[in-house]
Amino acid sequence: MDWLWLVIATVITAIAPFAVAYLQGVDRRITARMQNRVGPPLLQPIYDILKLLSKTKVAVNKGQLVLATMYVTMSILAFWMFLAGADLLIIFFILSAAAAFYTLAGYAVLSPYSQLGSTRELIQVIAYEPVLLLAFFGIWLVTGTFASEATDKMLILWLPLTFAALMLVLLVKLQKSPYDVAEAHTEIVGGPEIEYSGKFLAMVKVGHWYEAALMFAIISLFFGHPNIYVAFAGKLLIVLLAWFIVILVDNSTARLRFGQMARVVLTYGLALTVVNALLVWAVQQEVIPWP
Amino acid sequence: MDLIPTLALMSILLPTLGGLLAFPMGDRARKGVVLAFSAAIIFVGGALTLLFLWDGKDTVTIGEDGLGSVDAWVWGITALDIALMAALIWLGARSRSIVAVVAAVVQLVLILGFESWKGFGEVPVVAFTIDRLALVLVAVCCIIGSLIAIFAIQYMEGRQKKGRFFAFVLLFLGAMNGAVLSNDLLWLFFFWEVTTLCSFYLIYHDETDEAKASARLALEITLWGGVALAVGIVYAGWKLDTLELDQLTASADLAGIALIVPAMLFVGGMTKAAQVPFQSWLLGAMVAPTPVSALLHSSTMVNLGVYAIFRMAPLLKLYTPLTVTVAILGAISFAATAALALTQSNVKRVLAYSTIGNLGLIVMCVGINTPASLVAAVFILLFHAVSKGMLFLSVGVIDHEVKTKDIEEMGGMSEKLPFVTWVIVLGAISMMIPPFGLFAGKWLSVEAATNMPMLLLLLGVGSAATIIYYTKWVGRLISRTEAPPKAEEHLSPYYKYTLAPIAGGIVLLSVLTPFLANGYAFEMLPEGYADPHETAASDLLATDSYLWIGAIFLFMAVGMFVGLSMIRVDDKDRRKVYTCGEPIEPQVAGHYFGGEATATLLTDLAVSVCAGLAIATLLLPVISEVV
Repeated sequence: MDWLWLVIATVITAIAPFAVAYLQGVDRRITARMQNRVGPPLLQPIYDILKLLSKTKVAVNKGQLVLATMYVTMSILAFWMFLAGADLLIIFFILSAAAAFYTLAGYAVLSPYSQLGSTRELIQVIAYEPVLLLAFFGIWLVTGTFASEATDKMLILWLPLTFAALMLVLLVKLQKSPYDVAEAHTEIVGGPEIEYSGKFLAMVKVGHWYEAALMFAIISLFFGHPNIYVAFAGKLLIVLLAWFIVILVDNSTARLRFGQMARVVLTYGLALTVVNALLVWAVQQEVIPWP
Repeated sequence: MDLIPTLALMSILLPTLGGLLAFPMGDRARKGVVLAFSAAIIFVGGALTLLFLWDGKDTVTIGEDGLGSVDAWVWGITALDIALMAALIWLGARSRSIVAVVAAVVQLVLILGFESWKGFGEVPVVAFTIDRLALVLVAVCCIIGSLIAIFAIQYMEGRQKKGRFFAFVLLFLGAMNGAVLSNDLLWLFFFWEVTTLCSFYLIYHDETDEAKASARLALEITLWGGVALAVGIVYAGWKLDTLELDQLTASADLAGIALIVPAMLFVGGMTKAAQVPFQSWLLGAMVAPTPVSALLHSSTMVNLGVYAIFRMAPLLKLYTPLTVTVAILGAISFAATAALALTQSNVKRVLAYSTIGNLGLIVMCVGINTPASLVAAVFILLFHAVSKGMLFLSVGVIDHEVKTKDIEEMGGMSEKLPFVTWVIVLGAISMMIPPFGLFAGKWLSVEAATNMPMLLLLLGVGSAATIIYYTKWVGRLISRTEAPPKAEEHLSPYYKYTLAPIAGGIVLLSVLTPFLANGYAFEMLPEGYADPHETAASDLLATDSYLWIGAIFLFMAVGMFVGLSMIRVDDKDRRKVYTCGEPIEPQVAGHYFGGEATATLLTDLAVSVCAGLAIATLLLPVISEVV
């Protein structure tokens, strides 16, 4: 393990939420344009957080806050370990640990909305986790390793269907329509988030940003190139592309019910990843000729 | 005198003696006997583990010279074996089960016929073997098993027939150690059937109609598993000309009809490990007092099943039809029971499904049969045993103090029984969340499953479902309103001082994960397996894996510290939860994915598929002989 690289990873981890916040600012602006509005300043998500930090402390019980802290910790850890070059599988397990802590925090308050939202959160877990695991397997199939260190293979060419499946996972993870069933503001008023306020809400939001950062980092694996500058530009581009797709889908669809969400993500996600893995295998075994 | 063989023999004889002594005694004296013998067994198990590690040998064998009078052992076990068969026939008859009687008679005929063909009283060259795999099982059995016995002293207070209960609990531990240490397959068979007898009586204990029916079911299924085992053993002795495990596994490369030896042991093991389609007896066994569940699920019965399967792995090459079949059966058991656990609100049932699932994972790993997957199997075995034992005992405390086993009635348990709740939280976390031990096993098993990618689908679904059912349960335990009325928790020391050491053990073992993976587990592999470092790319088997595990522990500790000490919630900060302005006390209920209807459908589906696979396992030797 290279210590310098660990320091760099730590620095990137520290600035990652700002990058995601900026992206969300862009999201709000594009969304506004799509709806014929002007939209807020680009740094609005940061202003929101700053305002939350200045609010009076209000809470239901401490247990929830401790578990939420664990959730944020796990999110940061997952992102940091990704940068530090850990195994994708360990990141997979830490990500599900984060989801478990987040859900437990939601269950820790006896609020109907929080409990409902937490249950929906869990149903999301069973929807996206198998897809994510198979997506990682696809990456393993092409690169021969679970290490998250970037390879210079152009994964998007090998795994286009897996990429599409990851878009489904991304929609779920970013709580975007049509899969925003757990938060569902108009329905269960924020679900597991409902009983946080002030700086605790800010903390949970930052946790979400880290999860988003990790998802984008995984997306960025799909563009690789031996030339580091081309690779960097391509990675940025593919992340922006994914982000744009998410915004587009978010604005053009309505929320599904949680059962529909689980069914769509599981069936289409698994079908896409499995078919893609089979295709890769067929090419590798030269069943299908490939230049 | 050499200490290791002595301690190993004591791990068999001491519990047996304790059981015999506990049987006829009065209540007070029995308490003392159980406590003293349990403490002694823990000491023996601990000392054996430490000495073995200190000694650094791969295997220690006990032959003729180590046994004192070897003839006494041989004739004793032969005589007891016949008596045991007779007892099992009698039990089957008393339970009015033709199925069980036939199974026991078949066993008796097979064993007697074989012994008279070969000549009674043949002395094995190596009677007992202690190697790294056996040591894991013996340590778990001695330490966790004895703690369960101590726990039971308080739990069984005020119940009937305690003499019989403790006699069989202790005897169970001795038989388990005996089975794991035996090198002679006939001895293994004897101890194996003793565990069948013990489990029958422990399930039977309450003598309600339900208990009797469950005990009968367990007897039928495990006796037929015993028949499979007997067929395998007799074939090995008859055609392969050896009854000793070390020689059998060294002979390797079986082909054709000779594959019947591993195939029969696989199926026999699956009945003990309650794999689908044989899962029903373990679910029925929940009518027994909770310490019995803890014993069956963590330290004894089911482990013996996977142990038998594990021992047969070196007999097979990679990716033979037999191993692939077994791997698929294990993976289906894992995924199906994880999904089934989602539909249950009885916590003992949830835990039972979780046991079957985790053992399925072990069976799958053995079926994949690569060095890394075998390491994964041992990891899951060890960590599952410790965590599951603790979880069952905690459930026992809740059952004892609050009189409920239903998850829906456990809301706010963190106020009523804070200590037990935190023990359960730790147990559940250790079952699913890194860096605790089971995660390491799952990590390795996923990595190993890349050798058979179709298993990954099942693994993905199963591990997601695992997270859901544990989170759902723990979520209900800790859910509470804004003003927690602090209740005094008066826990019996028997409960506190058995749960606390196991909880500490879980954390300690988890910290040691990378060292266990690198230092212990891969040296435990049978001969003929490559060093897993060379065949697996896993970070866990890399020499710097402790950095990753350490990083996770560090982050977790920081998160806990920040959460617990830097966040303050005073009374003036507290608010009621948002309920749309309605002055109601929220009522919540869990989501059970269709409940019993789904469960029935899923069970039927899994049983029919797995029954097909189990039959295939039995037929494969015949098919490969013909083809």
